[in-house]
Amino acid sequence: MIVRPTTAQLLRDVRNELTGTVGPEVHSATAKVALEQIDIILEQCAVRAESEISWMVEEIDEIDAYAADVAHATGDEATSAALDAGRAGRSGSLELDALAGDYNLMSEALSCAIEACLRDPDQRAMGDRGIEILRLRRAERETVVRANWRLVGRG
Amino acid sequence: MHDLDAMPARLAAFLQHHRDDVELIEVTEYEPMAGGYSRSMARARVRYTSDGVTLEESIVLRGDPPTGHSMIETDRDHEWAVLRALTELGKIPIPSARYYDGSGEHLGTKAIVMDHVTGGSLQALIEKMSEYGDHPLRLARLWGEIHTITPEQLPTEMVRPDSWNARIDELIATWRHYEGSSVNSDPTWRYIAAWLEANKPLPLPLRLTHGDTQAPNVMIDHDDNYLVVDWEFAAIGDPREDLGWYNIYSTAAGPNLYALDPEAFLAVYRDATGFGEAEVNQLTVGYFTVLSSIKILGTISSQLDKFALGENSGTMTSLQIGSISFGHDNFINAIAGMQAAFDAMAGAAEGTTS
Repeated sequence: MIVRPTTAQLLRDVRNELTGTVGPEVHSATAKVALEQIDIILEQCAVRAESEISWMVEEIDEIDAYAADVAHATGDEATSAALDAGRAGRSGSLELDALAGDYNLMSEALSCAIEACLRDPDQRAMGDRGIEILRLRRAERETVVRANWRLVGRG
Repeated sequence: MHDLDAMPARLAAFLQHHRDDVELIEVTEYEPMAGGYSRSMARARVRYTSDGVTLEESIVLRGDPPTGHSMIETDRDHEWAVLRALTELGKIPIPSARYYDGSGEHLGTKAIVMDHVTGGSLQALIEKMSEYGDHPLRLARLWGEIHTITPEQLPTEMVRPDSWNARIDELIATWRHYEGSSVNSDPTWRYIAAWLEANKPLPLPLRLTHGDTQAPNVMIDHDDNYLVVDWEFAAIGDPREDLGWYNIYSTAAGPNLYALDPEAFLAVYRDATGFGEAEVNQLTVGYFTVLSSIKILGTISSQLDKFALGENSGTMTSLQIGSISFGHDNFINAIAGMQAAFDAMAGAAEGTTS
């Protein structure tokens, strides 16, 4: 398998071609907007291609540990059940579709764990730990994935 | 609407159907318009001839996108009913809505025909400005004017929540509904729903809400009048839903005329509506910035689900992954800020009583 140039490099090359060669030949307003949107989506795909597998693997492990701590501290049945389902259903595969399934299952455990902490005022610190997972692992990475995102062609 | 070759003749026939007082109606130009995110928009140049006299004008068509290419799903029948009611009421400045093809039989898709506003949008105007003049306060008053419309003044077919609590609970449940039915599990949305449930603000009377309050939906005519367009999300709800949606949308696609000076903005808004400071303040706007976003993010999310399932496509839809993630980032930070404020207020109250 030829892995270099990487997928991200190829996608960015397509971006350059569209911007430098195709773009100047496009004159309709709606087509120009579409081209600009395509450029954003290609860059987002490039960022995801570089990192999304490793990010999901890392987050699955982190959520597993967090949900286990919440289940232990609160005895919350929904968290325990979601964690069990996440562990039992884990494919362990790095194939993107299978891994996305694993990630979804474990995300449900994270949801249940945070909800359990919000219901219990004594678990404020544990809840804050879950929110930090949301903020640092998800929101900040999603910001990276958004890349050059903007609402093109609006108004 | 999407067949550019056929549309001039189809539109002319449709207009002629409504204007039997005119001898001849011709559509001399027809072109898609950029800028309509949710619906397909087109501008047409129309020539009317009667008794040897010829008049020309431009009109706008607003219809559903082709099947499988919709970024969001909304109901044209609903939008038309709201437009008709607002036109009759005459309190809110809107471009006149003239005709409606409610079956798509004439125009190829359900479509509303309305006046063309030649002056452009508030968004296009303020994007070019470094100083915004009186636009922030004019906008605050405009949103306030919409929120003076009571449920009794609106079409009976619009859904009426049983109470303020019922409306808020419905919106919170909507966060959970879309998360639960999505192909993606989303802990941020679940956290948002749980936090909103635990931190409801003081109620306000239910009023007309526009549902998509943003500067691109405010047109400015050549007499410098504001005209509000895109009523597809109009509902009966808490007026602060609109303030919240304006805040988050304009943070994503600025400038945000509220954030420049929130206190001045809200003072004008309160003056226009008669609402009090206990109900309308920066914290309650913050709450509704999060809460109300589900009305549009939810339908975006469901279209992205359809994309994932092979039932939808299009760059416009793909681009909205960014809208969802932008919401994640901003809502987590907004809730952190509001929670810190609530904690500080609780701490201060505790200090006063102890």
